[in-house]
Amino acid sequence: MLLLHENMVVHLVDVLAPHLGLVKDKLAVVVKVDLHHADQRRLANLEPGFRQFFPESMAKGIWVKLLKGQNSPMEKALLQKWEE
Amino acid sequence: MTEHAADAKTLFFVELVHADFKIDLKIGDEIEKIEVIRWQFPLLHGMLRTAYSAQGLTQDGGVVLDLRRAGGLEDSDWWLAIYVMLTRGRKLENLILLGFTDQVEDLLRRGPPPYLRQLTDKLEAKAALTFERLRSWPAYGQ
Repeated sequence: MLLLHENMVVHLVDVLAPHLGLVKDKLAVVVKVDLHHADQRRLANLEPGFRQFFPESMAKGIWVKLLKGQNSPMEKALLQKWEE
Repeated sequence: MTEHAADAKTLFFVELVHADFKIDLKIGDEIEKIEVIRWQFPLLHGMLRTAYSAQGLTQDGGVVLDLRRAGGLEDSDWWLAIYVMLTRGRKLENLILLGFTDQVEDLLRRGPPPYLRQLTDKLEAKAALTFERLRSWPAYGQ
């Protein structure tokens, strides 16, 4: 099991979008871990201050920023969302 | 280009992926076929590689090698994995070896697995034959 944290450098171990160069070994930085909704709710309800928090479910997904390449397959969807 | 537009080109949402496979599991005296569904994020630490994914790469910086036998590896595959790891760095002093036990030393002293030696012998014989034929070709040597 690999423990992840924000700003950690990772590489892809699967081919995610071969036509855009998102292939194995592509390096990226973890930007945000999108927690499972139940964990997110628990986190939001914690009292302010430093707390240890252990997620109980698998996260929904992980946002990463590609270190090389400008070819995210989500470009259109992201821009559209941000412009709304 | 606005900052948003630049971010949109590099941000990517990695979702869970799953793999289905079957394994033979010994339960008591019987071996049962168990269906496994594994969910995971297709990510690995940026500085970490398996021996097989390191094939063909040259690691210019230092390399830390974990020579321990990965679960269930046969001696021949273990030898190959160690060979791949040991030959990635440019200099011996750039390598840090973890798990260099007597067993590893013995494995390395035994040399390549027999099938690999046989294959190498076959390839060498083929190369010699090709060279012999090439020598009788008139254009060769001009």
